[in-house]
Amino acid sequence: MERRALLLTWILIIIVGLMAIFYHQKWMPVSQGDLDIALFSRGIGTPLLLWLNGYLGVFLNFQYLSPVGALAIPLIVFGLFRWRHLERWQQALLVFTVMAAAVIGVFGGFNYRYALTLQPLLVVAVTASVCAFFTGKQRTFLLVALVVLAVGNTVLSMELRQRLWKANPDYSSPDTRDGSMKERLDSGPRDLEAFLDSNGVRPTDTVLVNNLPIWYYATERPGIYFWGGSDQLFLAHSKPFLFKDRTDDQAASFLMDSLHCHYIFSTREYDLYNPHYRAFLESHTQLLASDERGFTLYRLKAPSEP
Amino acid sequence: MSAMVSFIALVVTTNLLFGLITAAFFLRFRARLLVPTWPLALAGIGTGPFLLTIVLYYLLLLGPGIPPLVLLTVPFLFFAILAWSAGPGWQEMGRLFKGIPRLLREVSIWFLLAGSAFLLVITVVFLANKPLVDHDVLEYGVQGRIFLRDGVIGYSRFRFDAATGFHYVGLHGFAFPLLFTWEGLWSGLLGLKTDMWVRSITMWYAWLLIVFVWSVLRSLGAWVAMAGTMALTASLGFLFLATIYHLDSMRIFFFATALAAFIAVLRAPGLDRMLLFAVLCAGGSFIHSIGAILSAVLWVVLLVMLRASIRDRIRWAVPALGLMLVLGGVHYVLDVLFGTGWIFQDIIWY
Repeated sequence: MERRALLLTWILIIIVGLMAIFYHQKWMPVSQGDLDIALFSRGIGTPLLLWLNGYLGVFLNFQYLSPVGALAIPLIVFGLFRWRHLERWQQALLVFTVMAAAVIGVFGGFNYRYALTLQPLLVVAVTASVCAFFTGKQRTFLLVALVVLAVGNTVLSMELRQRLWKANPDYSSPDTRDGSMKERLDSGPRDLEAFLDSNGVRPTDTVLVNNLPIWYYATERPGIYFWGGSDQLFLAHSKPFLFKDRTDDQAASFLMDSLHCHYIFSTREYDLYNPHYRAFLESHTQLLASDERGFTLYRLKAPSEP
Repeated sequence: MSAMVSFIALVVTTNLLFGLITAAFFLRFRARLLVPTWPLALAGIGTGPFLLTIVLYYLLLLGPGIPPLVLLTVPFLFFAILAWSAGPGWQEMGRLFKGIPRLLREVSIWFLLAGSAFLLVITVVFLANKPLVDHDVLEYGVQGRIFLRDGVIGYSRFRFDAATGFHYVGLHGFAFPLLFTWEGLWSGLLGLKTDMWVRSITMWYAWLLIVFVWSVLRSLGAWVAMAGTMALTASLGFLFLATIYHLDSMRIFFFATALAAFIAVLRAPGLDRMLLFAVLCAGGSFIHSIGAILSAVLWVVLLVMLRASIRDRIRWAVPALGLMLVLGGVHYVLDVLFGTGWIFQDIIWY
């Protein structure tokens, strides 16, 4: 019995290891291609990835999570088969794990930060199960295998990030960016006040801020909060759309005449999320400045301007 | 240099002093809780800063326009009372610390210490080189500073700041923004504008989480603890968890400790354990909505699967859920009734 269990455990570890290799080398795309940018950036651009990084992201998002957590899936199946032999707390933990994985998977599994929530539980459960089922050298070898699996997966994840970076010049992360440690870790605007002053934005000028809370953290200047990705303005009493039901000319005059806003502060990355917003930037604004960290500053053109 | 003084003062008072006081308070009940000492003490250390945010929350909620000096003083009075209430818990903690030299004789713990030293080096490098630049944590930072500037926490459908046009889109409890409020209070006294301490909170809770997992697995064997901890921490996600300034390490720490308490209640049902479970669930809930949702799932599973009579379940759950409501759960009730509607609104995914 123990021999069969040992063989099965090694097979499962090897399967998870192979999955991690296929995941990083084959299944994860390194360039956007025809994929939607939001789905691509969340790692759920294909039906397979929607399951791996989305619905089952708690277990199988190998890009960010320890593959040891994936071994909790057969453990859960085993627990369900052996339900009557489990202690009450084990049954409760099993039920909770399934429910929690479902909740996270359905509502935000694509966000690795949420999927990470169950990692301590899953890794401790797998490690404790190895200790419960095996002793002596068998246990030692299996524990070493879990560590090797985790470390090897991280090496694959880092290599994938390097390939992503090479395929996408805009892809930016401290582990792929060039420069000194400070330059790699500090992705914020270098001196926002000086950046604005040098481009003629007065401290009292209202600026449309495209989802950049750094504006409010680093300056005392007035802003109108906006998210281009969902086309929503965040005003005092409502969250209306900017472009929906408005022509671009109407949107421009709404910004200038009703909201008294003549500038837009954004980033090159955020500018790509909404094609309509991007087209508006090209037709109705003038790019005043763009810094080396990707921050962009636009001035809205007056209706008479070409 | 002054920023460093403010940082050290906050680490000593908030992380260590408030944390140890709360740990001693937890340890006072150890004989009744019948849970392992180290995990309980670590849960207490992590709960200290959370209780601080609860005190600040009620001061700002119930005393609009409260002077900064009062806001700064009352938490010290609260923790002084808690320290006094801890009573025999201090002796328990003394015994715990006396056992450290024996622990240090194990080879495996030196790997934990080496890992801790590595995390400390990473912390220093990041605090020195990485300012607050990431989206979510900046949202919390701006909102925390608005709380401090206005001296009030209120509820309205849209959390809009008329002075700047900032619109807080966060859905979660205010534990993390209130840490910014707390650091703002201190740095305001020194005439500084620093956020070094709040930035370090990410690493602090990541370290507490690592040590907590290690202490739980330690009961299965020293090398088991080491292997399990390595399997957990050797992932890119965990590396980001420990280095990118965010509330995740704090909420996952509370989730992990609440899970341990959940198991403890199921193994030996009783009011004391259920109250501990409620406190730790409250911590996770007041930090983030996912903590509140998972806590609700934990409670449902617990109440359905607990081996106890219906009468006992009600007798234990009512005070425990009441405590959870007091320790931050009330935020979600107020937000649903008088505020943004919490998750019952059109949520925009970023």
